[in-house]
Amino acid sequence: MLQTKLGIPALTIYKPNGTVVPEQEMKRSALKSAVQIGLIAVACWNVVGFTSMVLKLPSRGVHHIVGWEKAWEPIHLWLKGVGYDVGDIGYVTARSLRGEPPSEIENVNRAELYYVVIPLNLVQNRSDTPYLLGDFTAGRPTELPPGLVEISEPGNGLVLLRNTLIR
Amino acid sequence: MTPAIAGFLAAGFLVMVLLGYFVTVLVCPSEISNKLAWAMAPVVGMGICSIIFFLFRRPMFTVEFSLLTVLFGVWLRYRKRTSERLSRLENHTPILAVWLAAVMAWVTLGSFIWVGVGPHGDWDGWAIWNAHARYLYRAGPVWRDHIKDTAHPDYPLLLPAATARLWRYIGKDVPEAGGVQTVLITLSGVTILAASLWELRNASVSYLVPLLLLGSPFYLILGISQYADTPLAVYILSTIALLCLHWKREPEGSRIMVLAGFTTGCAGWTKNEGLIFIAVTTIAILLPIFRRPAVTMRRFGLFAIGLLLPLAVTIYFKVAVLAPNDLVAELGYAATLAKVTDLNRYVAIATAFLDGFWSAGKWPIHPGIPLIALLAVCGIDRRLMRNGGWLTGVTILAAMLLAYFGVYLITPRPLEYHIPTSLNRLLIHLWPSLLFLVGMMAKISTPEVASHHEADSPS
Repeated sequence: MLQTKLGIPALTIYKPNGTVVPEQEMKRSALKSAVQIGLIAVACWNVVGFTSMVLKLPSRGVHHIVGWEKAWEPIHLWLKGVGYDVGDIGYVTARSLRGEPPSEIENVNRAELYYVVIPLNLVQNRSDTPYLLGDFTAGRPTELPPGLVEISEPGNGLVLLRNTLIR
Repeated sequence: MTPAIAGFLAAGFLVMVLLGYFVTVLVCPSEISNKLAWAMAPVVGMGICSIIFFLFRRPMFTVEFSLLTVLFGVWLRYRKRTSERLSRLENHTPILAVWLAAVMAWVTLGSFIWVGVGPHGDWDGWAIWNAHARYLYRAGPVWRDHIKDTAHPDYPLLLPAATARLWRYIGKDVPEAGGVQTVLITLSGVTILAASLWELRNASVSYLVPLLLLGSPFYLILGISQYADTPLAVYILSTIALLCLHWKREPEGSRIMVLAGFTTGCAGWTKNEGLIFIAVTTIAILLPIFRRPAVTMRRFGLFAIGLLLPLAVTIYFKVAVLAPNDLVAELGYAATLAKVTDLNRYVAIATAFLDGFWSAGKWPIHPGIPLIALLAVCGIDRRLMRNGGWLTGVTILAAMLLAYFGVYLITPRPLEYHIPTSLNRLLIHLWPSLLFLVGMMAKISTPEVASHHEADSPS
């Protein structure tokens, strides 16, 4: 032992009852402590990973649904005013009015708006609903098809249309 | 969120937690510690409140407050004894406990910031769970007809009903309420893990292992995103922890089995995967029937009592709404047979599972490494290999994995779509329970804890 050669007495640790802790037990105990510290360090490092995700979050206004909720509010109030609370409401875009298939972004918009307008049921490709929600955020149509009349346009890309062919 | 809204939200949570606490301690008097009872209270309470909302709707407040009053009256009889016992618990707080509490507070803060930024949750959060909650809250008595218009209308309603219930407390559908609720349940998973390990093993492992759950970013994100996967994971954990506790406390006929039955039923009321969990758990409990038929049947009888209400509600919902399950509806005999006999599918799914075990939690460092080191250094408690509770837990987890494997095997959806969109969530269902079972294995002995356990009994 290096300690003996140097004349340094070996470190002796006592248990609470006064007996000496054997060296083997001390080593094992130190190893256990090291592993436990390692486990805590890994857990904390992973928490740091979670924290960095939180720090990279965008602001609340960037969240799509929050934006749609704001855009929908004036139209919702209008529909509430005429007593149209539950039922189907059509979904149209400039592309769909031109007869083109929906773009990827329009599919996402429709899914998000579907959630926003609940308990109204947002339906696509249907012309038998008394009201239609026009999603003109990607561009307005040059003209509306016959029978569709614009009744509310809050200026945020969403437009409420009335189907005059349906009573 | 205004102070008034926060106040009503807090009232909703308080009633939920108190109902859960009273039911827990009254169902299992003198069999469960006060710590574990409080840890279980939010999940048990959420199950009860969700069922009350679903069954009663309009007189929800009357039913909740009546039940709370009755339970409080019954509990009052036990209060003095509980307080006396608790007052003896003047033990020191280990530094690890302080550290766990500090990390938990940090994670809670981060989670609430996240909920504030995205109050409606992530895609499935709003498209499925909150859409259902909105129909329950906004469509009044016609919700049943209109919920069919949503994505996955057959999904059970524990989470949506619990969210809609909070909106009733607030008076309007404040989106943050659902987020705060799922964060609470997510963190309950951590406290249940800590309290059950504390009760069954010892102090140090009961603070170390929950830290690993807190350090599982995807587990936290699923909760913040308002997915039902985290509540399901917490119900699975609660059931397995209660089963282990049952085997420890009173192997023959403890009332803990009633509570385990209830949490199992709540898992089925949370997600369709929970129905698989009900089947798997029932079979696992019945497995010793050939060896000890009388004991096993008595055990199962108690389990069935707890299971009955949430399972009946789930079946009633499935029958009342009668919406087909997209996976089951698209199954065809010939196509399924072809998939079952396709060896490449087995290889593809097994590879995905192996990959998932490594990446499911989105961990910067995989916690399996320190866990294995802990077991290697501290040793494995071999007595556990003969413990019925632990063996039942392991059987349940293994069977759940096999069941999930089987679902991928026969899924009508393309594997390259189905696996990436769901496997990580499915593995997170089992992650807290796996941590619990591994924590149970670690051979770390601190004898002084045993005496504290005896003192900390609620009634």
